[in-house]
Amino acid sequence: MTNAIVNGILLGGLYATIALGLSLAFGVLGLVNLAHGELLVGGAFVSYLVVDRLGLDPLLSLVVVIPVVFAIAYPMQAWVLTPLLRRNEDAPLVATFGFSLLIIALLQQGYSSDPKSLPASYADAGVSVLGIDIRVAYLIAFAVGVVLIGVTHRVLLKTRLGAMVRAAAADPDTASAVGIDVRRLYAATFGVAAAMAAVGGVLIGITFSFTPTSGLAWVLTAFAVVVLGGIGSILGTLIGGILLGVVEGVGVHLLGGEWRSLIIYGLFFLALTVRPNGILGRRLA
Amino acid sequence: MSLSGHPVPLTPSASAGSGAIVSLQGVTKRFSGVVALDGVDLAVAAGESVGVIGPNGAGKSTLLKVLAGEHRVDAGVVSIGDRETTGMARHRIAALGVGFAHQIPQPFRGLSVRENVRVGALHRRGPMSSRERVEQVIEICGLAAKADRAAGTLPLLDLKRLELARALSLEPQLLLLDEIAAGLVGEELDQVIELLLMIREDRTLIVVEHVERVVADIVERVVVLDWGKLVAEGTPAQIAADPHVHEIYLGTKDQAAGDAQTQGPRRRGARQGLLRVEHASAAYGAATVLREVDLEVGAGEVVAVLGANGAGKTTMTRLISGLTRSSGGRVSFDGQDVTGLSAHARARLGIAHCQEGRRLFGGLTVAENLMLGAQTRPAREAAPETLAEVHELFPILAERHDQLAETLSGGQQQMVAVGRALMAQPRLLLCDEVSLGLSPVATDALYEALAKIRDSGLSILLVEQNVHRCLRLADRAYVLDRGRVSFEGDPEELSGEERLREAYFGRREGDGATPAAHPQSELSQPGG
Repeated sequence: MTNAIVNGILLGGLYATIALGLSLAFGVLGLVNLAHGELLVGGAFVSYLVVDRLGLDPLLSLVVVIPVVFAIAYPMQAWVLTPLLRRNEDAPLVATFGFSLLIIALLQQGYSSDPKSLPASYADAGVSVLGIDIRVAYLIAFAVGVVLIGVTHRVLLKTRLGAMVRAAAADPDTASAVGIDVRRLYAATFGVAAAMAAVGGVLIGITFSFTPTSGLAWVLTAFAVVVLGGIGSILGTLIGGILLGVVEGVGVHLLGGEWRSLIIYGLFFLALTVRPNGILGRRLA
Repeated sequence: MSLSGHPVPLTPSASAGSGAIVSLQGVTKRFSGVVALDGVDLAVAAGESVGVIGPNGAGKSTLLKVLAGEHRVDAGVVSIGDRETTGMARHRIAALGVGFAHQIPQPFRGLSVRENVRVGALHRRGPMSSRERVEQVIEICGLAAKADRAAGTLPLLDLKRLELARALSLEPQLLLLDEIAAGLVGEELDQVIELLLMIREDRTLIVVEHVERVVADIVERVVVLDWGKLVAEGTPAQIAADPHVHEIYLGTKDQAAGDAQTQGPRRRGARQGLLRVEHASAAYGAATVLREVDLEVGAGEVVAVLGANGAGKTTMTRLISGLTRSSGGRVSFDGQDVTGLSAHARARLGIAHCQEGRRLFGGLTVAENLMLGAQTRPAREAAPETLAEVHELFPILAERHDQLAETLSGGQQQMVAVGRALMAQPRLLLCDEVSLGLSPVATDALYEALAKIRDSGLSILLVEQNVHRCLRLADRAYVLDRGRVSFEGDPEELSGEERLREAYFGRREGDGATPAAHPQSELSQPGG
């Protein structure tokens, strides 16, 4: 049982990483990014390519993965989503669904549907701490999640850039009237959110496996985390991730692995019903 | 012509009873601390046409929305006919025979005109089949030829007609009209007035309107709202002549005299054009708001832009700062054509815009708001000194440094807005209604600061409702009248008030801009 709780907490860190980009895009851009799962899987494939060609460690491949995914996502927002947003608030949502299908099609073109994973020596290693068995991959994912969320939270709340982002999120018109290039800022935010998704994808690649179509399951998990933690709340993402991880871990421990999906979506449903604004529910800025 | 066969009286007893078809008693409505309606008592008799006027933010639209059930009141009793409608749902109030034509028509754009009207008619049972009634309403509103066109393709005048038709399709006994004439000019206006006169015949009308001709031609009684309170009531002619009403719109002269000592003599030297607006036009959708306007601001000059609600003043500032794109003409700043530049690029060139309603980032602190004003590298490098200057100008902001902007009072928020603009070290400061909604004390403080800012050599464009105060500060003034410049020149020429009164309350006989069909409006008669 303790084992299930501790591993649930660690897995929760991974869930939080997966959800962070989704939360950021929603909090700042007001965008429900349906392509989030595909950006995540796309990041895993880019990493797969880098690992394959250059023989790098998957974690080191992030040096390439992050800028590549950022560079792909930036024009999506600058050239498609922001212009659409000015015309109709709902149009970008549909466009992200289009991106999602497009990325899936491209990945299917290039790769088979066989599950892939990112080879790392530590992927299946375990350590025992105080009698609790812990997967090293979980530990790494948790650490990455906590650091990413801490940094994002701090940048948003304590830096000038963060103030600009919050200002542009709250009132884009006025932000541009004080001289902020809102279009660029939005595109950069989306790029960062996508890069965060890609980091999550690499962690998934190390810990589990992925196919061109596995984005859907992960984006649903990410939605559950965002709703649990509070839509648009960065710290809430960490809390939501951990809560989901623990409930899932304990639930599977008690009921068995076949209940996994039901537990996740059941909790999602429960959260939407009981606390639709999440645990720390408040829109950013 | 009238909508024959419609009378489904609201209730038989309504006309038999007190005669009041609408009654509001002590109605109060607050929006997050702002009182929009403050204990309003109003009774409207069956068949009466009542106009509601007042400056921006007086509570006029709120009054209509309370009647239509779009807003719930916080206190007081609303009745329509003999039914108390306080807290009643919107569709049930509509079913009582209340039609509401909104200021900004929002039809189903993809549906045809006929379908749009039919959607409204579906909810009403009457002696006529709904199909007949729809056709009749379309006919009356002059939309017969366009009945099959998609609503989204209509020009503004027809959109207004459609909005009326939609309200009429409910066969309302009580019709609420929110600025139905806004944005219309010349012949369009005549046509809408004609339509309203026809509609008026057999129903009760409550009309919120800025266009003085509509008020003068349509209504029998005018009530004046200011700060959510009913402050005057009378015939259109009485109201137009009421000095108290003039004060509400134009501010009092006494107030303006108070700050004379803070404002040195006007400096009029060789004006170097800093900002030049040439033949600029602007439109929101189908509504043209500015028509080929020319305007200039010299270096170090203070220019006032005055005019009634809906004259295009705010659009003027948005056009200059780039928040609204012009549909024609040119804007140049410091000799550079900026017409194609986005708002942030213009801000970086030195155009700072204090928007109407302050528009602070409420969830950010005072300090964050101020620092966000400094976006260019030179402004950022000089930020500590500029901040000190802002604090000197508004000492209270130093105390409130780390407080969230949304927790400040209105006056303090306005100070942050002006301070944020100054942080950019701009060369032109656009101020849109900086004193709107502020107490006299706060307004004094703000104008004192503006005078100091002026003395530092910054050019200022002031858009104001508070006319006298604004004119004391201005080197030059423009008056906008329904999207056109109707006066340009020395503010002292305006202090005689005749021209101002024209711009705010209507024109005198023989003015070419007024169509011949209405050579004289009662409201333009100077009062006793």
